[in-house]
Amino acid sequence: MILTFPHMGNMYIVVKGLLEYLDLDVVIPPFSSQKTLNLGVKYAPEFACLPLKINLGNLIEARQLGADTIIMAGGVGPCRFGLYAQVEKEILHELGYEYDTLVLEPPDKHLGQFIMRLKKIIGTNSWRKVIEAIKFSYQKACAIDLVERKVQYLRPREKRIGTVDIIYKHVLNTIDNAQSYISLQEATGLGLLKLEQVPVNDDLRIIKIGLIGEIYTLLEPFVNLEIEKELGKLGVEVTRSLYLSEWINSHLLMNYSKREKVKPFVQLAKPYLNYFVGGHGRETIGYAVGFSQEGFHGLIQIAPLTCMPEIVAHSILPKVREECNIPILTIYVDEQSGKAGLVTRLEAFIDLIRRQLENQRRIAK
Amino acid sequence: MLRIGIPRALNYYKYFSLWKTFFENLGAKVIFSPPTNRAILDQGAKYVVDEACLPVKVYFGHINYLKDKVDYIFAPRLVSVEKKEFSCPKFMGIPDMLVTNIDNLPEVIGPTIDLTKRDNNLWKIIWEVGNIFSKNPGKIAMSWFKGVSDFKKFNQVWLNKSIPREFKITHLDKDPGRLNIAVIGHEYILYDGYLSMNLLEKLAKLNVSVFTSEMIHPKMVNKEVSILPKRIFWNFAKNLLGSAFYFSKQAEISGFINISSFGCGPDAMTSSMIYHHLKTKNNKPILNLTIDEHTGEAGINTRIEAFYDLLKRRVG
Repeated sequence: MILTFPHMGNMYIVVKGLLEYLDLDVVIPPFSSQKTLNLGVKYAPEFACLPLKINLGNLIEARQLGADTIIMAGGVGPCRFGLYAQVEKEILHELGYEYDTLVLEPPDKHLGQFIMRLKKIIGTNSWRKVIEAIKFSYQKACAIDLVERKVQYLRPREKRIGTVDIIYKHVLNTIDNAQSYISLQEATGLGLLKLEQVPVNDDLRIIKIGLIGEIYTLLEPFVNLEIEKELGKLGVEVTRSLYLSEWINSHLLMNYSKREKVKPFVQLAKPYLNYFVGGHGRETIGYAVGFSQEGFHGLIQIAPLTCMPEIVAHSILPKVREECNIPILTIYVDEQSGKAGLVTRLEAFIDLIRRQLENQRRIAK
Repeated sequence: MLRIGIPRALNYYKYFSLWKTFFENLGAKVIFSPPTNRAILDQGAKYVVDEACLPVKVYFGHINYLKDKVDYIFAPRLVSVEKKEFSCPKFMGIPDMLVTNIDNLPEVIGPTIDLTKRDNNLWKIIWEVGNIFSKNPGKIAMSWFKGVSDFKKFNQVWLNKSIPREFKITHLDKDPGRLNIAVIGHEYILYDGYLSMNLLEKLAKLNVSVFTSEMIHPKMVNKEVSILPKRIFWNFAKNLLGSAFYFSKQAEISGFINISSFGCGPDAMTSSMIYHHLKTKNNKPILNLTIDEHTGEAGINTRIEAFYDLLKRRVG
C-alpha cells in the first residue's frame, strides 16, 4: 500500500511527517505545475472549480509514481470541496486508475466503515502512536507558520530581493527532514536565526495588505501565481486570514488545541454577513473588518472562479469597503490566469494605496 | 392593507403557493413581480457582482422592480429544508447580499430557515413572520395550515406528471407515439421562460413529452441517490441527480437535456455525475445546455433541433 494526497501549499510537509512517523509508504505528487493543471483540465468537469482540477492532476501524477491509496480531507457541505473525493474517484475510475480512498470528514452514516478503513491504512500501529504522530505533524505545521510569518515580514524589507525566499526554501526542507521534536525545534530555531540575519532596509514606507479569501488559493503559490512574492517585491507586507496550522486545527482536529472558544471573525462579520455560507465566506468578511480595524492599508480577496462562498463574500465586500474605508481588490483565478495580468493589477492597486497615503500625509501637514 | 412583495425568481417556483396562501390568509396583499424580462435582468446585473450566477442576478432585478411598490419584501434565507442538506451558499447569503447592495429597500422579511439539525424551529419562524401581520396565534397557525395544504395540492400536480397551470407552459401528456425527454434543471431556470428561452414550449412544439425532476416523489429520489457512497448535501442538486438516475432506468425515456446556468456550483459537480452515470450504466444521450446573459436563442434552437433529430433516428 502506497499512500498519496493532493497538494495544498506546504501541507505536504505535514502529511508526510504524519505518515512517515507511522512508518507508512508515501508518494508525494510532483509539485503542482502547468503539466498538473493540463491533466486536471483535460479530465475534470469544465465548470468545476480550479482546486478540483489541480487535485485531480496531482492524483494522476502520483499514480504514475506508483501510489494506490488516497488520503484527503472532505466536508459535509455546502462548499463543493465536500464532493471532491467522490467526483475525483469517479473520474479516476473511468481513466482506469483504481484508488483506495480515505476521506477525513465527519462520518455520515457508516462510522464503523470509516474506522475500518482507517485501521487498514494505519496497519499495525497502535492508536497511541497515531495520536503521537498527529501531535508531531501538527507541531510541524505550527513551525512552518512561524517561519512563514517571519518571511512575510521580511520580504518587502530585504535589501537584495530573493534572499529571504532562498532561505525559506531551505528552512522548509530542514523542517521536512526533521524526524524528532529536537531536530524540529533545531530546524525552526536555526531557520528563524538565519532569517534574522538577512540585511534589511529600515527606512521604507511599508504597505500592509491583508490577504483574504478561499483557503486553497491562499495557500497554494502555484495557483495564486505567487502573489505573496510579487507583493513583497512591491514593498508590501502580507498577512493572510488563514494559516495552515489554523486550518488543520479547526477543520481536521475539531479545534482540539484551540485557545479561544468564540470565533472572533463571526462577531466581526456582523452585520454584513449574519450566517455561515460554507467554505470560508464568513471568514473573508470577518477578517476584512478585522484587518481594517487593525490599520491595514488594503485588502486583496483571492478565490477560484465560480467559488460560491467567495461570490457571496465578494458581493458584500463593497459595503465593508465603504464603511471601513479600506481599498479592496478581488482576484479570481482559473486555468486561464496569467502572471503578467496579475502583476499589472497589483501594481495599480498598490500605486493607488501609496498615492492615497501620500495625500493623507500632505493634508495632515 | 400591508403589501408584501415576492420576487418571481429562485424559490418562487417551488414555494409560491405556500407563501401566497399564508400571507393572504394573514390579510396581506401579495404582489409578485412580473415574469423575467430583459429589463429585469439588466437591472439585476447592475446590483450584483459579475461572477454571480444568472438566477441570482435575475433575483436582484425582481427585487429592484418590487422595491418601490411594496411595504415589505419577502426574501427568506433558505439554508436547509431537509436534515443534513443545504440549499446553496448563494441562497444562504441572499438577504445579506440584498441589504448591502440595494439602497432604499423596504423592510426585508428574511427569516433564516435552517432545518439541518431538527425541524421544530420552523414554528418559531412561522410565528415571527406571522406576527408582523397578525397578533392572533390561531390565525397564524390557520394560515400556515392552509398554505401547506395548497402547497401539497400544487406538488400533486407535478407528481401527476404534468406542469402546474400557473407557469403557463404548454405541456403534452404522455402519448405512445411521442418522444419522451427528461429535462434536468433547477425549477427557477426551467419554468422561467426568459432564462430557459422557452425550452419546454419548444419541446412541446416538437411534439415531445417532457419529464422533470419535480415529477418524481422525494422518497424515490432519496432511494436513487442512496447508491452513492457520499451524501449529496445540496437539496436541489440532489433532486436533479436522483431523478436523473430514476429516469435513466425508464425504458420510455429516450434522452436527457441538462440545463444549468454558468457558474452554478452544485450543478458543476452533479452534471458530471449524471454524465458518468448515463455513460457507464445506460448509454442514453444527453444534451448539456449552459446559459448565461450572453446566450443566444438561435444557438440553443439549433442544438435542441439537432438533439431531437438524433433521438428520432435512434428510436426509429
